[in-house]
Amino acid sequence: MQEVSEISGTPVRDLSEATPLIGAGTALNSRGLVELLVALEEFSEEKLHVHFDWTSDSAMSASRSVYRTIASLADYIAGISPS
Amino acid sequence: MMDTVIVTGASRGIGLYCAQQLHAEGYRVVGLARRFDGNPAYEVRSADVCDHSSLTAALRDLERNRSVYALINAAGIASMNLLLTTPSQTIKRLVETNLLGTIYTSQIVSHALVRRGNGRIINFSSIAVAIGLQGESVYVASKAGVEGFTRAFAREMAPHGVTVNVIAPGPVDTYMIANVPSEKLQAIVNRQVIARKASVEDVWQIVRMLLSPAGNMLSGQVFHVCGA
Repeated sequence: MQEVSEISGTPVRDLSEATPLIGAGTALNSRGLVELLVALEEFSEEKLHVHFDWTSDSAMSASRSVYRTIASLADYIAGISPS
Repeated sequence: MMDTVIVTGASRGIGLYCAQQLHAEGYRVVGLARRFDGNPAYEVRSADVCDHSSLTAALRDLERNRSVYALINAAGIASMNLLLTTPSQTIKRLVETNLLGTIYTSQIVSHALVRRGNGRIINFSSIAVAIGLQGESVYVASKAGVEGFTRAFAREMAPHGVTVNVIAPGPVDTYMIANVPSEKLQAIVNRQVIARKASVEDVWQIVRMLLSPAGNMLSGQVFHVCGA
């Protein structure tokens, strides 16, 4: 949430786990989304030692995308993290 | 920091010439091709643009390298043939090399370009698209795809300060047209606005212009060298 806040300029208090990252009401424009993905890729590889693949057929799907909300993206990162 | 330019198809034709000129101008050049003859003065890596994994492996160390300034997608093949007499494997190879190769390489190199926050992607099409060249329908389809891809991808990359353009020359004296009868080439040249065959130097000058600050506000454009 902190990263989204820094990229979007939206105060953390105005964000929630349900904040969309794509589509209507998104906190990020397309540039901001890519910046977030770059940051997540580097975090995943440097801290979690796993490869974060940005690509997905459902990347822009409002119902299925892992980028649809802050919570869904966090769940996805948790899912690829070594237990 | 020396700017890096990645050039596909760097073993021959327009790609080779651009790689040589870029190297002479002081860029770090990373040339890609399936194989290279001789020992070029710039860095070369073996990769097949049709194969996403091969490209990813060849460019892995550059994916986060902020020195990467530009990608020149010069890899391309042609096959002068009627669709009705073109083998399906040739159709596949044309589309994979010309269109998918451009898309794959653009996707991979863009990881570095968005990190840098500016840059250039230069793709290649042909006058054959503009004039609907008979006997090149598959080639034209693949290059028309490159033009459409460029226009849309230019919009996707604009927020990241990256311009994406296409250079579409008429016939240029390279290996690609070596077996095309001269009267056929002249007929194409006669349909150009400037009715003479372009040289690789003519094409290089457009590449050079697009890489320079003169190209800052040019994106999503098709540059018809010779006019069409």
